[in-house]
Amino acid sequence: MPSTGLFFLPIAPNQASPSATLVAHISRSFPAQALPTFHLDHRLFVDTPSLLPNSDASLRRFTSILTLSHTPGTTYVGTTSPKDRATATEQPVASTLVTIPSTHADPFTQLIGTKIQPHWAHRQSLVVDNGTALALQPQEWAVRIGDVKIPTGRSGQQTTSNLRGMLVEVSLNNASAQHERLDSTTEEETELEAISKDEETLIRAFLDSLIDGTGVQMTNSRALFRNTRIPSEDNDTNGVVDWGLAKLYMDMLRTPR
Amino acid sequence: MHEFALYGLVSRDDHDRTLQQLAGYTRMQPQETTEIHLVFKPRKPLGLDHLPSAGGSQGVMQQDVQKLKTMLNAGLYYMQLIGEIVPQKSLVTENGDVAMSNGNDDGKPDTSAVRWSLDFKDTPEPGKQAVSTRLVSRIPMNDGNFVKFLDNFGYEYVSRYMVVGSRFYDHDTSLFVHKVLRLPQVPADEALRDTSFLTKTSELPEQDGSGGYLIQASIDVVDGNNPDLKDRATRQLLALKEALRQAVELTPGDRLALDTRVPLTS
Repeated sequence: MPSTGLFFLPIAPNQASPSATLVAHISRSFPAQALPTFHLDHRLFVDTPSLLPNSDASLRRFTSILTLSHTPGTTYVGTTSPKDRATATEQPVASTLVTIPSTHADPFTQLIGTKIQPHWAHRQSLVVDNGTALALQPQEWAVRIGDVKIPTGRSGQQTTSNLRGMLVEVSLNNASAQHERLDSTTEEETELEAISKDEETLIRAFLDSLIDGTGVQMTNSRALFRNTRIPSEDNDTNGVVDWGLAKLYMDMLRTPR
Repeated sequence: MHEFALYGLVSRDDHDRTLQQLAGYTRMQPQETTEIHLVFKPRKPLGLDHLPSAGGSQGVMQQDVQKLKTMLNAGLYYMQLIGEIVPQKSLVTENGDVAMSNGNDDGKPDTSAVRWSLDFKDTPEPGKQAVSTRLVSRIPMNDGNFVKFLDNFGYEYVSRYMVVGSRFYDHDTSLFVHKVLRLPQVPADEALRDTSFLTKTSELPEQDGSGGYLIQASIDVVDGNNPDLKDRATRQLLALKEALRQAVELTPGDRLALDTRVPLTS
């Protein structure tokens, strides 16, 4: 079962993304093998009442519609559970996911925006269009790098740069250190799939070794870790579902503004 | 997507004859259809009381609140989770008596053979129309805990029922002769999984005690706002109505009877 780390480096307006430098450096310095292009599409909704001026923003609930290039035929739709006022700030958000065919992502988005608007209001869309995915030391590591942007042409506000940050996914397919239990297929079980401290350190160290010498600073990035399911070199990903990975991305993309 | 539809009634005695006529008209054998319908009711969004009272003038802020107020007060609609039973083996349809699937023990369908989708139907458009028109949306649901998802999404499970019937297709038009059967009511988390009744559908009570059937003739149009397509769909349905005049009377539905909104008072 692979362990995946996801890093989001915010990029200030009018600054360029270091992603091209990073990809060039990695491809030059490591035995890298290109994987299919990395892209994603994330549409975020918040519960409409939480936008009212007097409401408690910490109790806000979210719905995400996420399509990932890892599982291109599948779109994940996740909703967060209502939170308790007492534990709202500390608790990580628990979410429930379902999958729909990715061809239905647009109709579902439309339905929410029109007929379900008393409950949900569109908040932000983010896309990675032309990211890079590389397999390193075949079978062991996979790195995905992409620029996170606000899709253009949706609301006509193109005066400022629509670049929000750079996303780096590092996954370690540690087949050697196989966990006792088999890959879980049910969605609930993935709640437990936090990764160990060692694996986290390993992933961080690997990322450091990748960016070493590029001048890219990841110190300002936010990082999330999780056990995920699909080995990155798996080609036949149609119809395959990776709850852990989808939750990881949703958790990450729910916050950057 | 828009659905254009006409509706009619088929009495129990006319049922077999109607099926034969439809089979003749469409030149196809009926496709037996069994669907489980789970009804979900939207919760009222909280926070309507948080709305600042009118009268304050805070410029832009006020405009945002106004927009939110409109959003919060927009209609709330029931939604359904519809599970289509996919037969494990392709059942050979009998020619004569096709009202019910044969309740014998030939390959019990298990839970994995249900294809679920989230179904939204708007209230039909107002005004005197030759055919009923409404916005519809059907999202296939592949995997996950649908009931818990919908609960988080703002929709509570209410009840379930079953629809059995025969489907015919003629070009773009689908004809569905069906009736509603009542299902044993179970708690929300079991409603999806429990399909024990499938082996004895003939014992389920009918919603309409007279044993009558409903017939729906409908055309789904992806871009229902396109006037040309709208015209074409309407013309096709009216032609069908004319062609079947001797067999069954097809009319636009009663708009209020097809209302999917939650009443404001509830």
